[in-house]
Amino acid sequence: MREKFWTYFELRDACYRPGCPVCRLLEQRVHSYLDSLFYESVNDPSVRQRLRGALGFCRNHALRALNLGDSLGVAIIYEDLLQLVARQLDEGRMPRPLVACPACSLHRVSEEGYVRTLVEYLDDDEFQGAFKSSDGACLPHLHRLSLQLQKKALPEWLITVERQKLQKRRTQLTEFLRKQDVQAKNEQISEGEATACEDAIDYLVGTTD
Amino acid sequence: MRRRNRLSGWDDRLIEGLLDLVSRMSEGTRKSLDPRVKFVGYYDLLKLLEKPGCPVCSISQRSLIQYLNLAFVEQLTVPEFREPLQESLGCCPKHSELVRRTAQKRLPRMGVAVVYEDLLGQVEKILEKQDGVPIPSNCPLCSIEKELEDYAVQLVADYCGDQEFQRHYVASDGVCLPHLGSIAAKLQGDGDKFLFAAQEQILDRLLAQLSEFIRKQGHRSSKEAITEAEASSWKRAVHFLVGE
Repeated sequence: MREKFWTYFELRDACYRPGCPVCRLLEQRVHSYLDSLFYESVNDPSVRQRLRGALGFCRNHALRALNLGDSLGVAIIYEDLLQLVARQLDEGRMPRPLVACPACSLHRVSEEGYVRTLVEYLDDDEFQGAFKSSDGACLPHLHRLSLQLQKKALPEWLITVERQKLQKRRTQLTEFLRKQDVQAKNEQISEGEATACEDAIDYLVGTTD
Repeated sequence: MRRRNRLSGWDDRLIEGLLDLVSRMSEGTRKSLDPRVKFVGYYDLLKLLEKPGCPVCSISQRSLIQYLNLAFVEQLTVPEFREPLQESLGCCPKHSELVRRTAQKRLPRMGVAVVYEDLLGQVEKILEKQDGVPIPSNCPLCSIEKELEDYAVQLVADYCGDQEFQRHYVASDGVCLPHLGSIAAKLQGDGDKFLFAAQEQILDRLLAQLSEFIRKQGHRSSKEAITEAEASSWKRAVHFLVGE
């Protein structure tokens, strides 16, 4: 029997949750990173150094950090960053990030790992079963998967699953639109139809972590 | 014959319409280059300076959201609106968030559903042919946002030498760091000096509020009241670095 590692089990379990399994895991990983950084690493010199180089987080991750609501942690880190910016402006220099946002780096490395694992276990029966019951991969991750496979084509079963999920999304959108009509005003809109717009957007661009 | 915009692929007349809409929303005009002449857009800028956040971000975000609210209803059947979205397979992640916000209102939500049903159909056809995996690229809203930002950046740059504007600017949150760079690139001489001096003053004020906010979290100061400005300082610090 083939050896299976932690990432495999993470991916398999994510297949039973809504949305693209890779997006779900990335969202979770970046959330834990930000959460633990603001909770316990605010005064860690290496964390501070990295954040100074990047001038804080990128817009997306900075807004995520705000949503975590750890006001004191954010205040301490950003006080340090603003002092740096003030010093540079005082010297007549326009402050610019020198390294990538640390949360983006984590996202990129984790994404590569998950996509590699996905490729590795595409022919595994247990994984195929889990993937078939999932919402399928979003388009950017399907694209990454096809790049990772290099010259090999995406397996037939995977394309079939992806097409089925796509058809389901389209049907939900069509039904949502039909039920807006006065003639269908007494028909109940299902939960899937109610969120069909958001699902379609997530499918095309992935879920931002 | 309709002309296609070089950057976004959107019809030039649509973009002109959008900029016209922005002008009407800010009730100003793009042509104001002489700081002695004050248009309604200038007074709109002064009003935005009284509110929290970067006025350049506010002008471009507000205009883009209002435009999308209209576009997904009124221009839904206009090919010049749909074609660039079809070619790009929707928007980039940042602007997809805006589309998502647009879809929270009932009428635009139907427009979003129509457009995205169409886009999913396109993807389905490509997957059916087994012709690789398509991926969204060249988001048309990125180019539109760039034009809106240019308009707002120019507006701030035009009035940097104006004393009334300077008074309002120093009392405000100023512009965010990314837009500070764009405005500085358009300025020379006194305007440039003013902008940097004012921004340092604004930054010092924000830093003082942040320090007080941090100090008052300590046990020894737990009975000292936190002012409203101190309470929002941690959020404003983040927005200063990344925009709204």
